[in-house]
Amino acid sequence: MTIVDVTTVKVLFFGKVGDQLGRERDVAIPEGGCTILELRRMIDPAALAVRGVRASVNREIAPDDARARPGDEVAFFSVFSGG
Amino acid sequence: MAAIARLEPEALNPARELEGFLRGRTDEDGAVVSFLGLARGKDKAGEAVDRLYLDHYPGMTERSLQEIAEAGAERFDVSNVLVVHRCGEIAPGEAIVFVAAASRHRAEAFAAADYLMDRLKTEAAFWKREEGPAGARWIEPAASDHERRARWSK
Repeated sequence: MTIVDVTTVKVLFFGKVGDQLGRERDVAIPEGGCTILELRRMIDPAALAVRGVRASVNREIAPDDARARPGDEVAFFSVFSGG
Repeated sequence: MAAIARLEPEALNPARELEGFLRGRTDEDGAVVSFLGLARGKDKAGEAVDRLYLDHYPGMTERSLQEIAEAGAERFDVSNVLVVHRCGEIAPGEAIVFVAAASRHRAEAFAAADYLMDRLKTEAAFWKREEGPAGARWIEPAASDHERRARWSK
């Protein structure tokens, strides 16, 4: 059995995905971090695999292969509506 | 050339915004164009809207407004642009967005205000929800908004 140290990352949700998943969660991730794609699968593959649901790490738009590390702030959000 | 963008969680007062903008003018400016966007009381299908909710991501939303304002100020021969955008709950009839542009001649100020609004309507980092008797609905930019935005990419 492999023991992996775990920590958490704060994840926020905006727009329609916020209705589905709540506003904020602490998600357990390996101490070495994980990718946005891995986070999508861990949190809710159905809700977060929807086309157009984008992600950010520390408020910068982040692709699926971007890494979230302990202490980062990740967000998932539906398409911007504009003003 | 200066670009100012502000996110406004409280009621937006267009008269006060315009007054403040005019106070910053010099005798180099020959034109000021301003635009005010209001919340409608009906949706596209004609159903009543009791209120609009503009969700935002603190930090990201402000930055998107500032980037759009700066792009408008750089693209056109304007001396100043101002963008003030509401967030939170907005009732029908209330102001959502105020945009102003100042320039030597009117054409540039008109174009800058038009450009700023087209980009704000499609790219500003907001999530808009209409709430009415039939329930709540998340809104995305309309095809016509994207078409208007695309004019500036040509």
